[in-house]
Amino acid sequence: MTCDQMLTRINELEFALTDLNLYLDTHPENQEALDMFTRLSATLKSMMYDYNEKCKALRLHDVPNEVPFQWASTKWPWQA
Amino acid sequence: MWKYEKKLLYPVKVKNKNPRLAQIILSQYGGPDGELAASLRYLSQRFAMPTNETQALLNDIGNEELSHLEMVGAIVYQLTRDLDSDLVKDSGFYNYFINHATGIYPANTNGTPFDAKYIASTGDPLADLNENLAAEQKARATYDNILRLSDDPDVNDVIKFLREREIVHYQRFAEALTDLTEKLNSRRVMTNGINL
Repeated sequence: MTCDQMLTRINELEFALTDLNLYLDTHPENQEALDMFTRLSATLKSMMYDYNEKCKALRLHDVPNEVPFQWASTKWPWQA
Repeated sequence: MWKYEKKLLYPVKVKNKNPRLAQIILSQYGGPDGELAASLRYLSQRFAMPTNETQALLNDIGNEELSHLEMVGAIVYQLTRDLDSDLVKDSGFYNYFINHATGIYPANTNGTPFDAKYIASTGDPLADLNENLAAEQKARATYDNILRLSDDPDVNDVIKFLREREIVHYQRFAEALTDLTEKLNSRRVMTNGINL
């Protein structure tokens, strides 16, 4: 997968988790929804790890120990 | 607390500049039913919510609204990149341009700055949840109006995503209101912080 394809997949997973988050807020006893949330969270975690290794850090604390400081030198998301 | 994730909730990639459309979209950045109002409304109201469900929902929808605010700002930014002066003069965008150029300022389409009068935080959870149901519908109606006026497919794709989220938020607020009403009626929950 290219970095763009990986980011699309991350966006899809995060969107699904955002929606499930709100659903679980008002349905806190729904085990089926929570199972889906847990499964997608695990997939997202490994996808984020791969994206971080191959492309760039999406979260500040994942920035590599290399100058120039990657966080401030890669594009911001509104600059697409 | 908040941590930034260096991506948008949904990608914004607008190819064509269009300052007239930017000025219309701006209303959902700093207008009465826009995303700044939405995020401040929910993130302020959440403190006085009396149940786990309502606290979580206000926190999490308020959080999502901040990522919507960022998307709307990205649309306005991309629609006004690399403008030439003829395009500014001919589009009517000069009313905004004269004070802000292409900076992103929280105002509505006619330039009125953002105002906290757009939101309510009554300390009464039933009143606030009812306000939020109306707020989501007003935001949805504004996105419908934007879709009536815009023929840019890159913009409309994002606006349709945002419009759909208002509908989901409305549904969740309705569930929270039903649940809270039932709990208050059965006196399993008292509203917070008032000992009069």
